[in-house]
Amino acid sequence: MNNKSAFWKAFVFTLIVFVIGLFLGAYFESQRASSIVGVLENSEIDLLDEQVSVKAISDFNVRCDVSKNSVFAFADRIYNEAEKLEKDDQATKFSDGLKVAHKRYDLLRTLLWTQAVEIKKKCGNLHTVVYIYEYNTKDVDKQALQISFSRLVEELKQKHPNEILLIPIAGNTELSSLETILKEKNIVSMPSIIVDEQKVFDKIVSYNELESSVLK
Amino acid sequence: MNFNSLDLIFFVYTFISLYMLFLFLALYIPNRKNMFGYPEGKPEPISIVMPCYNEGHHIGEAIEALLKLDYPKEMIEIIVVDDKSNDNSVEVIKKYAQKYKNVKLIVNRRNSGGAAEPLNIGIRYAKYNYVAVVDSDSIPDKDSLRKMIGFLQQDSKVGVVTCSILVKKPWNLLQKLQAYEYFIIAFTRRLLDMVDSIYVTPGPLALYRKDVLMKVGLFDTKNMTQDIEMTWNIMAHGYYARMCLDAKVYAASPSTIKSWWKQRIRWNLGGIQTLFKYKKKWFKGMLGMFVMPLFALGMGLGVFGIGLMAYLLIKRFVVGYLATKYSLYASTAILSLGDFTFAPSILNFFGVVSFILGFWFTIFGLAVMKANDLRGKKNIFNLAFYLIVYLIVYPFTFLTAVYQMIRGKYSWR
Repeated sequence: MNNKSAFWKAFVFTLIVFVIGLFLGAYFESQRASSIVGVLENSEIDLLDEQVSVKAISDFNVRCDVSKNSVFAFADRIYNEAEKLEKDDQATKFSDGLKVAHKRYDLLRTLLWTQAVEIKKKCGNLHTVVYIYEYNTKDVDKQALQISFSRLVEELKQKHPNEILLIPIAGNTELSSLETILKEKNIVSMPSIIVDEQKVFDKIVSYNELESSVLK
Repeated sequence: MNFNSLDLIFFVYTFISLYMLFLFLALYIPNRKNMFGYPEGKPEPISIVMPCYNEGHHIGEAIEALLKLDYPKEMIEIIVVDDKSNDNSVEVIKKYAQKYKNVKLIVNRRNSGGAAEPLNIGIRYAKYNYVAVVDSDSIPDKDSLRKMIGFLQQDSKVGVVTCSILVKKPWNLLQKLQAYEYFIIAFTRRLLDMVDSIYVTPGPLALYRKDVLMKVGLFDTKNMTQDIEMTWNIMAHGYYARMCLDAKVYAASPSTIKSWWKQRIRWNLGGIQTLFKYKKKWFKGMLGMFVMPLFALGMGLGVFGIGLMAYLLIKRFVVGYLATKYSLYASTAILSLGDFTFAPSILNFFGVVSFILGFWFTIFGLAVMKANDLRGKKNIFNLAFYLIVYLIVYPFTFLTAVYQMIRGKYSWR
């Protein structure tokens, strides 16, 4: 028996196992992406619903607290969905599907921000804390800063769940609407925290300072 | 596609590991019934050469073991070459030389600092064409030479025969881990034998043809692992090395981490020296096409894997450190639930599959080697320790060897 054939046999077998592995990986990732896109589509419908709600405040005299509760519930839900998306996105290797989903979520959250501003104008008694971060950053210092910023805003939200609307948005996904807003607000570096469309924090800030600037 | 360069490196790494595993399986499956087989040979005179340096405690036991070999006494010549020991080795050997006329003592004029020079002295002195080389702290099985000699008699292109090198009386954890290692090495060496790719015929027991040894210029006295160098030298001259898995020799193994570390550095240094010495043989014949790449990969992959892991861990540590620093400044939580969530990627799956297959192969190899005494609950812990800790620590000996080589500070002892 010629044992030298083992070299190419092993190569072919490894190749087959590898290709099967890659295909399975691609398949599982596409399944994961489809389920996220499904959730996202529901959220898009919910946002349209929210837009109607804002209009209903003035047109049908819907009470502000009803509309406010609804926007908070929606914001919390898409916050959790987006957080899961962020983790899944890091594990995605085969497609850009989740990048597109991420972009759509960012668009959704930008829309939510504009809706919240509308509600704030009509009803008041609501604070928006928009956390702008850099998606997929390779900069180690920025990664650390973003971890710290997200802990900071999360803690603030947990302490004041009914007063603060927390909207994290990736600032580098090439959304022209968001870029316009950021330009307008003179946001040049990420991460940044924008409190009530007025105050901007682009350097590490203490929790108390942030809290007092929100609840002044 | 969302692959970065690290992902691609990981894929290449996994591919090579899987390839080696499948190669071993492709060699084992069709040859499984012949793993322990050997050609029946007839006894012919053999000269046994044993180098000795400060082995006063072991040398008597080693000579006794050779005298008890199941081989016609008149066909055995035992040549012990003392490398100018400064203990009682010479006195012990002299007693045997006086009692048994087939035991000869040669004392080197100087301490050469390695095994190669005394071996060469003994080989030149040997009167028979079959020369067995043994370490002075090794105990061969009684029937080992009988089982090995047939390989040389059957095929004139076989220049050397090696056997299963096993750990002699492993009693502490480090020696038990080495026992696993030696079993797996013996198993894989037999598989490599099937494609003429044995890369070392280790010192504890190897049976050579004297004319081949003379033709290739004897052992390289400058090499830290003269046995690796000799095997490559023999291959470079068109001969093969063969492995008799059923023949066993029990070798003393380091019992302390310090001595183990020193031994492995020497092995790595010798390996690097040999790679450099035969650099012109790359991609020529089985030596250059498979043995050398396999040897280099064996050294490099471990270091590479450790380097990759270290890079990722250090990066994670730096990010964690900075994030904690910033969080402390911000007087906010230094950990959140989100830090503990984990979404597995395709790379994680490939890593897990490779580890499981590697684990399985180790257990399978041990089972094939009939290592019954290594089973049991307690030994599962040892096995896990071997696979996780021992194999991870090993590449650091290579790094230390490279460092020592760059500094030019190394010696055999």
